Amino acid sequence: MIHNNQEISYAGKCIRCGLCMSVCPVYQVSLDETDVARGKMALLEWEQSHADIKKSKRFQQAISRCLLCGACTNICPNQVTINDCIQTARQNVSLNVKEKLVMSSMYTFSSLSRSGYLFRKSGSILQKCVGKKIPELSGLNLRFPITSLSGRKFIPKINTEPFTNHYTFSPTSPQKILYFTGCGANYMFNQTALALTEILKQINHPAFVPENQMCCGLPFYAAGDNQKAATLARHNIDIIDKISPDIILTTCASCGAQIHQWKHLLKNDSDYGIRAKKIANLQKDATAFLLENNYLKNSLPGRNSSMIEKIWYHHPCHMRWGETRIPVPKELFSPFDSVNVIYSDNQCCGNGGKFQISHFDLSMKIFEKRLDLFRQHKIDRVLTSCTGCQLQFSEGLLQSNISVSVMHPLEWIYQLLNDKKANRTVKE
Amino acid sequence: MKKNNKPNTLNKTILNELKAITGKVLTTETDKQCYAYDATNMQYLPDAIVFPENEDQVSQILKLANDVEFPVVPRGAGSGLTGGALAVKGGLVVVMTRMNQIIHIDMDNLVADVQPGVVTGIFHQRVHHLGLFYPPDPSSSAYSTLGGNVAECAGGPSAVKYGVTRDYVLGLNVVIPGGAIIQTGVRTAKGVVGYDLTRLITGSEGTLGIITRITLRLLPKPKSAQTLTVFYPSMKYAAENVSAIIRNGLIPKTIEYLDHAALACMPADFPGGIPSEAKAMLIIEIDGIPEQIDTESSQIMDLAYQHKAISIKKAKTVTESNAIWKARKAISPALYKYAPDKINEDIVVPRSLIPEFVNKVDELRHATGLTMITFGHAGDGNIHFTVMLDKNNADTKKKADLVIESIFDYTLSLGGTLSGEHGIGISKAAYLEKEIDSQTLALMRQIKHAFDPKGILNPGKIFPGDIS
Repeated sequence: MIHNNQEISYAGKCIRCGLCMSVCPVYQVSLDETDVARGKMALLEWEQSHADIKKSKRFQQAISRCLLCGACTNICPNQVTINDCIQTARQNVSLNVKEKLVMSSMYTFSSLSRSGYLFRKSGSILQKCVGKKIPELSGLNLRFPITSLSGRKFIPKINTEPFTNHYTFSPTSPQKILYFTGCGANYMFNQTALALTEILKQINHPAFVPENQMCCGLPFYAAGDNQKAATLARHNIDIIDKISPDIILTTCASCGAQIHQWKHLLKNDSDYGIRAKKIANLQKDATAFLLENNYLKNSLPGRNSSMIEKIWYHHPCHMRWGETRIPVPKELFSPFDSVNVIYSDNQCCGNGGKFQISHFDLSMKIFEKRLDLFRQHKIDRVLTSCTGCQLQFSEGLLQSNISVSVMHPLEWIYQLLNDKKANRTVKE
Repeated sequence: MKKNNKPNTLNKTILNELKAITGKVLTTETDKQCYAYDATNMQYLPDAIVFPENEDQVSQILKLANDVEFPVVPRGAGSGLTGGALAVKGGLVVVMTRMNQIIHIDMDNLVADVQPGVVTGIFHQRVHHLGLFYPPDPSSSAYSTLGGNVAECAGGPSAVKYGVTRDYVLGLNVVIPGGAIIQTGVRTAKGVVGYDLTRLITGSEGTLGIITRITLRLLPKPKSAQTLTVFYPSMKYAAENVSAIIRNGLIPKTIEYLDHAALACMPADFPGGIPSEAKAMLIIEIDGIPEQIDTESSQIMDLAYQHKAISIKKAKTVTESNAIWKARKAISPALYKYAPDKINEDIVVPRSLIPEFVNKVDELRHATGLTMITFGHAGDGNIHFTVMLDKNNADTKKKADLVIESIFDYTLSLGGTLSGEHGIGISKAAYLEKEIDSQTLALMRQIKHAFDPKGILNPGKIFPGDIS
């Protein structure tokens, strides 16, 4: 395939200054120029006149070893759209057998068809068999995809039935809220979905949670499979437009970012392209939505809470950089005198979705860099608003035998609300 | 883009020997492409790349290279601006980034021992946390290495008060061609035993040996600092203000200046904004004890108003002052918005003559119509003179070459020098004879020969005519 994309010609704007070395999580672990943005830009420039290099394993490896975290794109003084360049390059580099298997598993997994059900079912059976060999820590069980189990310790429980199948509500709110769960909250971290939908019910803003929503498409997009990503985008756009919401809430930063990516992905599709643009404008992180509207103010236990905790808050890359950049939700913690929050440093946790599957050891090495802080402070809990980051912290901490619960901030809030209710009942 | 058509001197046997030394030798096209460039954005393909992990490996590499006679190019982060890390004659690139340990910091004697691959910015942070200070701070400090900084004698904005890298290098371990490990210098404040090889190797651009260990001098960290940004209606006033500040006995840590073209490259969120009528700017940083800072900053502000300053802003927080410095450090790469190619010279003139130099640049700009930008370390007279152009346009290229020629001649006529901190490399080798007379140059060649009789180490650098 010939590059005719504008993104690739942008690679020519890279002037090899090297600033990307100062922020690249992969380079800082490997110290290998093929891993850092300017190296990859040099390779893409070379590839334009030497297409045969695409076949080389080392080249493919270089293109694959990127988290797409966006740190370099954010800092690049020449505004080279590095993420786009690498994503475009991935469209033209075929995946290896393992990656292909993982990607097609994920596609089937998240599909609504009978095969998707069977896949999840077999996954959860397999889980039970393998699960027995795995130390059970803080209630964490098995994770998917099953095809990449080697070396892993954390495997979340997979639900045969997605969250959306059980959710019911009666629409009362004047504002039409749609909750796009993403696969994480729908199939693995149901507690997150439960937390948000229950909080929304409590504040009388119950959300529509369409049963037939599918994967946001990010894993496929990141792997360069624009066709699958676009198919999923179109499906979800149809589902969303049927409800025609005033606002779309997400609990996963990556899904939120991918919803914004839809409009770029479908830019040549006049119908869906325009609809995608409108939908992007409606997307909002659920925690930010609740905080901005002061919905949590009255319901939180507040200063009187006797809870003493040290929390590590990790801001996902998809909230730190790019179109979906939002500030760290410090107001979430301000009502609690006794909660000590440590905000994660400015770096990617090392998950990067498919990156963690393809480059597990490297991904863990990137994560290890933050363990010092864990040893310095006695952390009780990790909060983060992204499925990928949640998986990474769970895995990385377990690898080092650190037993700390990892959850979405809203799950934590929901627990507090329930505790408060329970206390009140006791008092009464 | 230049390509290297030399036959591959690194045959299979040699590659296997190298592999036996370092465990891994990279030779794929992909790897070579990624070690073919540095921050000059020029490209020369090496034949192979190795990552030594200790001094002994470096010694074995240089022994082998000397025996078999293949070119060896030492490389740090590859962030140099004159091509010091480019394999202009092919051969082996020796990447020092994996020797990145801070070996020891001696708090009593304010001395640190480091390996060459330590990133300067990481070292800054480490000593900062210990209440210490390592002043050399090149724009690339967030990613450049200390080894590279020593090899190029990197400078930075604080040279006016604190000097440059060479002023902090007390001693070195260096592997020379043939594999001998030499130890230069001392670990003490004073030392005059034998020739000062430390100073010779500092700034030798990887042509004399490969640095494997560095002993650095540290300072106690100044108690506090204040950053001022001052805008002027013309470059002339800014330049005269610099001279006035120094003449009044004030030595700030830093006096950086930006002309109007450089100002246009500042980010939109620059703290406090940039007045529309501003044609030049000074960033002045004063450090020391708080009371002294207050006195000095009000003296400097008085002087600035006497020199027609449009506005003066004091950074209120550390975050604000960091944002100012971040913007300043980003100028050099941001200049590419003017044109695809850059010719960047870092000449130095006696600081009192900066106004004359600026006039000369104006004159050349009017005469040629080229895009010229000047910014840099006004406090020490080190000016980053830059021409932005499209090198494919033959006419422009010719004009630019003539401009550079006359800028160099003018610089030397003012009593200045051709490079303050970037080095000669391949970018400026052709001009070396303008500044260095033939007898001195001949002696330099003899020194090179004494270290590297077979000319295997970083060939084609510094000396004119070595690269055709």
